[in-house]
Amino acid sequence: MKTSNRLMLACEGVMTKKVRTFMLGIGVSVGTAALIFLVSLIFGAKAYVDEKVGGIRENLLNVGIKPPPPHNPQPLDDSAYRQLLQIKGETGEVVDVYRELPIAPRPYIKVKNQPANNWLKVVSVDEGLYQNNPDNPIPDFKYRHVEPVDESEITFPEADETEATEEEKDTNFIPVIVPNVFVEALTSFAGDERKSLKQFFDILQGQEPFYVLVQGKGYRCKVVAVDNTVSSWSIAVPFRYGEEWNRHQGEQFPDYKWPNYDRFVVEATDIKHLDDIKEKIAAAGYQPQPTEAQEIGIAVSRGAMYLFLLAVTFCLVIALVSAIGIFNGLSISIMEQAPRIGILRSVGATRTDISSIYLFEAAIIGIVGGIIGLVAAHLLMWGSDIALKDFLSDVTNIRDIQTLFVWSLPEAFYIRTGAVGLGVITSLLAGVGPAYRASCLNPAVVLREG
Amino acid sequence: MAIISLKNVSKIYRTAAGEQLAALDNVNLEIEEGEFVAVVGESGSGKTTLLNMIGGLDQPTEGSVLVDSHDITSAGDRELSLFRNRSIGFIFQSFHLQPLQTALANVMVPLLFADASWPEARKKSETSLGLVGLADKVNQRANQLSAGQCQRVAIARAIINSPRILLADEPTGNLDVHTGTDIINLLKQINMEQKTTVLLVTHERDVASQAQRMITIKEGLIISDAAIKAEGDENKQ
Ligand SMILES: Nc1ncnc2c1ncn2[C@@H]1O[C@H](COP(=O)(O)OP(=O)(O)OP(=O)(O)O)[C@@H](O)[C@H]1O
Ligand SMILES: [Mg+2]
Repeated sequence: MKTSNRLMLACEGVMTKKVRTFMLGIGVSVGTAALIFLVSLIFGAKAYVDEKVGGIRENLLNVGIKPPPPHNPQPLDDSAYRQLLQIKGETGEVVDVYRELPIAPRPYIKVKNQPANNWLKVVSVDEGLYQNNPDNPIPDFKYRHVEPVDESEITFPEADETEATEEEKDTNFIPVIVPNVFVEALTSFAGDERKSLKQFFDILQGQEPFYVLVQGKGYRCKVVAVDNTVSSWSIAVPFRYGEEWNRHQGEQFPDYKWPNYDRFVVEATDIKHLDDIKEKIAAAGYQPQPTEAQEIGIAVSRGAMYLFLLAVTFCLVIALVSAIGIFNGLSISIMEQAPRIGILRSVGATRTDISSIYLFEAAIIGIVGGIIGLVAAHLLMWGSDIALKDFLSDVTNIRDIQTLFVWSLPEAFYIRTGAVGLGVITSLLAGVGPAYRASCLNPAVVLREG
Repeated sequence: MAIISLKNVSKIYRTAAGEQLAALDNVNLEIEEGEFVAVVGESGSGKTTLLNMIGGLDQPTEGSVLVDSHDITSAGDRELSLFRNRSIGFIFQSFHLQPLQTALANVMVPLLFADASWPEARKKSETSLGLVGLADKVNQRANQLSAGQCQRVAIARAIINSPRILLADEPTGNLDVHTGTDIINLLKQINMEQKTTVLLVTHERDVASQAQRMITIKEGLIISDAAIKAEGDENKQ
């Protein structure tokens, strides 16, 4: 018998008991809606965290000496670098290998009291370094710290991207040392755009302005001098720029001596390759060290996983309950429709035909329920977004939430199809027993009773 | 060559009390192609059971049922279903129609199992309904038809695949005398025109007397099997 004909008979069966089908479908709807809602919420939370700690570059791996100094003073040198490059060639899982260079020079920068647009975000401001440094490395240079400026003291003109004139430099610019602000800024700058090292040098040489955000306020800055006495921060630059960097440093600061590399940074094409790469690095005799970013990433993923499991458990319970409901409902309707089954058998339905028809009925219940659940989930998420956004902005200072859920492809698509699919599978599974029993009914007996 | 041949067929039921009940007791029977046979007997004598055996709706406990020299008692479910679909038409006392479906949809059901195409199924069903005189009720729901019309729809459904055997279990049981006569005449007409073998179970003597042959069953045994003269006289064979 044609599948379409089986489906047609299943539809007929469903149409004779619309209300019951609908009620059975509601069980599936609740499960589907709950699953979509909860999983979208969890993925939404994860997306939010990812965005906030975004660019944490989980795919970076630090490579140090093994065992770490001082036990083994063997430096990381060019041969070590070439070994790492070999891993890149072998696996294809490595984007590039960077040398982590200590930034000896501390830049002094000028800050113009002017808001600007394309900020580099500065994570921390460390003002302690210079306050405690009694030896002013450049005695004739007057500088002072960026104090957290009182907003009332500053006049913020319109954002101005133009170069400051000489005149302006004297009046509007405050020469300051913002030690770690700068380095942080440039670290993230170089981190995100490693290839524009040229720009980085330009900034360092004071040829280009850059923008920092200090305690909520943006400053347009220019480097005016560099202090090479303090070495505490390091920056990863692509190895191929190493020579350039050395030359630059040498030209600028003839006294500056380049130390051995502290470590290398290996960038994996994907975090899933990290373990593999780690193994290879360890085999080569160096020590792969997880970065902070990876640890944060792992923590976030783990947290999300717990919530995900919780949601799945919850939905499985709903699935079980609705499966029992569907099992009951189908069993009852099969008993009620026994004469119909008898008739179908008498005109030529095989046992397989009968069980297929009832499995199709179960599938229809699942699909109807799933679609209702899908619509319900969307309404629920839409409503929650509106209600909770208002609520959160009323009671907290969180205002940047666009949505609590994940709506973007492909996650949203997978979540929705997955949930509806689960509903259909649940009702199909619940339908197996009744469908089998229907196929076992003796037509002679059920026709006699009808 | 008999179209239907029962050899030592017994059907034993186990009753709730645990006793064994022979609904059919070692029945031997041969029916020729094109015959119009009435089966009579008291309630509970085994008439329906006999029809179910012949129609492949139930399996005998013992013995074999041959239809067209094929032993249907050894057939598998698929084969048996195909046999019911192609060779047998069932007609019941209580019609067994889907009340919310149209006459056409009810008549079409056997074609769904015969893998007919939709237009073909529709055409055949209309023809079949025309044959039973319901050409104008094609799109009427079964629950809006009279009892006699319902039985006609059931007959249209039974004959749609042009089966060689029609098994009618008290088709007039729910009908008044006049309507009943119409139905019997319709069955006779089908028997005459299409050479369909008809087995008609009935309680009513005058209905039975319309047949060419009358089989009487009592407690699972055939106690008489006689040809009927056109005038209605009985002759022991
Ligand atoms: N599934 C069953 N289980 C047990 N006994 C059964 C079963 N089906 C039929 N019987 C018994 O078999 C006997 C024959 O039943 P059958 O239905 O063939 O009688 P019938 O001649 O058609 O009766 P009626 O004229 O009332 O329809 C009856 O005694 C009935 O109780
Ligand atoms: Mg009976």
